[in-house]
Amino acid sequence: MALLASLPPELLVKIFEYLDLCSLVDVSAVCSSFRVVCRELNPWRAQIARVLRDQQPQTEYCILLHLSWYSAVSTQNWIHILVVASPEHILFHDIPPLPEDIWHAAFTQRFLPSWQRWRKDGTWQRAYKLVLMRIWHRINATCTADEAWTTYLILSRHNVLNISSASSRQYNPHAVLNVYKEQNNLKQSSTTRLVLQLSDIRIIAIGTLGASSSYQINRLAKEFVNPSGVYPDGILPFPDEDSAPLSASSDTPQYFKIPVPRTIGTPMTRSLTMDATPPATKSNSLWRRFRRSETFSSNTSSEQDTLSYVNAPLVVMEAMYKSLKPHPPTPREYVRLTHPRPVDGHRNFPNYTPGGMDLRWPKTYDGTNEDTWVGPMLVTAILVSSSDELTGDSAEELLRRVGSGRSRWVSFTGEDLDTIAPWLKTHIDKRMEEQNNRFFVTKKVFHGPPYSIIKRLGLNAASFSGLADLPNELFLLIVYDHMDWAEDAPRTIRQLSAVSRRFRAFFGPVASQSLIAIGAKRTLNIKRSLENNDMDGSDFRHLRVRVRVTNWATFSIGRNEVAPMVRGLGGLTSVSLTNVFVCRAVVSALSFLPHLVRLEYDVNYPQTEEGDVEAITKAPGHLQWLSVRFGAFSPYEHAFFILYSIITASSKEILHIAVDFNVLVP
Amino acid sequence: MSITIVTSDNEQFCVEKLVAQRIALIEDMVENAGDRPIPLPNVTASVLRKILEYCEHHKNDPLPPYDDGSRSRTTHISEWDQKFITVDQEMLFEIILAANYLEMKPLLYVRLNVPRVQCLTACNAVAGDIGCKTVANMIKGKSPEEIRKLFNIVNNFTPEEEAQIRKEAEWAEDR
Repeated sequence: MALLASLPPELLVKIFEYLDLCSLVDVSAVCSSFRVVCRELNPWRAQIARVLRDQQPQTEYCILLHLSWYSAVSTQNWIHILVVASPEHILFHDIPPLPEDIWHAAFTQRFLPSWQRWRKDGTWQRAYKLVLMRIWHRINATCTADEAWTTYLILSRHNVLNISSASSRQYNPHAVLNVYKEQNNLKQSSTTRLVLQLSDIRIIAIGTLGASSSYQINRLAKEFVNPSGVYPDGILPFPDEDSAPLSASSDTPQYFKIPVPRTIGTPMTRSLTMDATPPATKSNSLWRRFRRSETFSSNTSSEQDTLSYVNAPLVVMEAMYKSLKPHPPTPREYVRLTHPRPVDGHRNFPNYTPGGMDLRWPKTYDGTNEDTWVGPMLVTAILVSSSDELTGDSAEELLRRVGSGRSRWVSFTGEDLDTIAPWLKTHIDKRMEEQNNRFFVTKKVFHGPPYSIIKRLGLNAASFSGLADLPNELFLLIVYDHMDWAEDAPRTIRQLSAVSRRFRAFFGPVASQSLIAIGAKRTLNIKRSLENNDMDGSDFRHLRVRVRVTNWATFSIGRNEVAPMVRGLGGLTSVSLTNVFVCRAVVSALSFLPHLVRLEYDVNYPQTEEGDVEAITKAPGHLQWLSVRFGAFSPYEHAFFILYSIITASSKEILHIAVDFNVLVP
Repeated sequence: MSITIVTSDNEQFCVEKLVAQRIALIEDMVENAGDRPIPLPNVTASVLRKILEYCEHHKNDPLPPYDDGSRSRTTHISEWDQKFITVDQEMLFEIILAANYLEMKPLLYVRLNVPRVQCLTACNAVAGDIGCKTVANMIKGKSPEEIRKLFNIVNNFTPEEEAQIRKEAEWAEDR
């Protein structure tokens, strides 16, 4: 015969979970087996959550505050109470003596990890109450005295995390983001999303939604707000039948299906759209720089203004373009966040939580929305009172007004981001922390391997064997060393930059000639050339170069002074060349000075021909100050051309140009 | 299409497949058993008859949302269910046990790729829902002694435990 007492414990606890606290106290006193079930399987928890949420009726609330009196109630329930209860109820009611580990657990589950700084040397109980008092104070008074600076994060589209601070009294995340948007030429209005809510804090992301074809797509922001493989309830990806599903962790670049083989023009915009139309040419635009490289490759300087978009052939390989439709990531189950513990409406975070409070996706999201995050995204945190609930239709309206609660903004640090979104660590390449208005790179991570890219591009894999594990930056240097810059490099770089948005960001500046990078092997070659005094056969012995390094130390470069200059390569920003007999020597010197901003030289014997070409490709990218004195015997056009080339190909940043034509007519 | 179920007392039931699909255990067994009868050694004919009556009544109901245990629970029972569960205590607990055994949970979560472990949790939550709610409603508002009397439970506390419980209850009596 079946009896209540003979039911298995898991069914008993299920029955007990339907009881209110008063009845639970009574049922725990019925028999020893019920008492064990109440103590070990904790049916109290659901009722505690209900009482904390509803705060009714008063009798149950009194029992709640005296739960420690009952031996059938596990003290672990106090963790739940200390994590979920409102600050008022904890601060202004008596809390029974609890062990320090309960306070510790409550602290780590309720607050952001960076708030542990408030503990200092005190106990966890003291730290918990101190922080809770701060929260209560800041929610109820306009006071930022205890946190003069508010830290916020910027997730940039280059996979860089900027950690910045602003005066708490002046801090307005929308205003901060607007500055970043202006720098990124973004005019669209901002979109605010509630990413996560804890008991006292809302973590909010503010960014810009744009077309998925934009070149400013911010994958880092997308990964933060909508992690790959997480879908709202009822929305499941439907992969193409003819393609194998991708792994959950893999990147999913967008591919396009086009007929092959196909020769197409150089992309006119930084978009993967191959049918882009050429923009109007501007004198200092990226396109001008890009086109200059084409001019160089076609080796017809007179045609540079007439080169059209389609005249620069670029063979696109079949493997680069597979499908027009992006592959949705495979559904993935992330580990639930427990420290800190999200509120009930976000209990499954970072997975989707049904119930209408998980607002990371727009209401209209059906799995096919094409809008995506573009440009920088600001991540910040705001204090909320327990009565401030975001539910239903009012949620988006409240989120739009987040700028109003100025005194409630609190710091959200990189440590906090790592805790709530640990999967982002693999997406962040660099962390930059602002200290005293100066940025410091605190971490740089590279991801490999680029081997598949080499294969996809049809490059000679033998030259790149063993590169599978190399970081991209090193890969770039080696690519440089293996390429003949004068012929194949621009095309290869363009191909690389067309492979993916990430590679475009990486190789784009190189393709547009605005960056000069020297590979390790190339640097060694230069060093060897200098040491052997056979720099392209020029008469290097007569060259006397005075080099000013940033600390104003001066080296005299000659046959025996090569080593100091090579050592100082990285830091050279200012160079003065005197008594230059060969213009090409100037060009050679420039080739290993990538950071040059100031250059002065005088030319006494301009007789170069080959230097014309080299001057275009090797001119420094950041030149700001240029002074040239021509003391040549005749105004050969080569000298003028070199000067012209340096000015036009080097830098938009040039601020000072001085030219002295002291021409000696024979 | 129908399937045959054999109970512990060797009684055979011919059940419409749509009805049987409300029972997760049978759904699983159908796939393996093919056309053979499905044995249910832990369920008697009288209990299975009640359960099938429930399934028949609810066969067209929308599938309930997934419950991971975090939602607030009400003890409300619909009128038909209340009438259905108005049985003697023995049958009530037999139904709860059988529902637990049969994993009477709609198959929504299997279709949505919810992990099996979650599905089973949900099964248990709904399986005994009506039964558990009924028992909870019977317990509510009663003293420990009244509960013992109602469910024929023996007080097996030691004198020390009794003293401690009495001490704890002193505050409750004063409240």
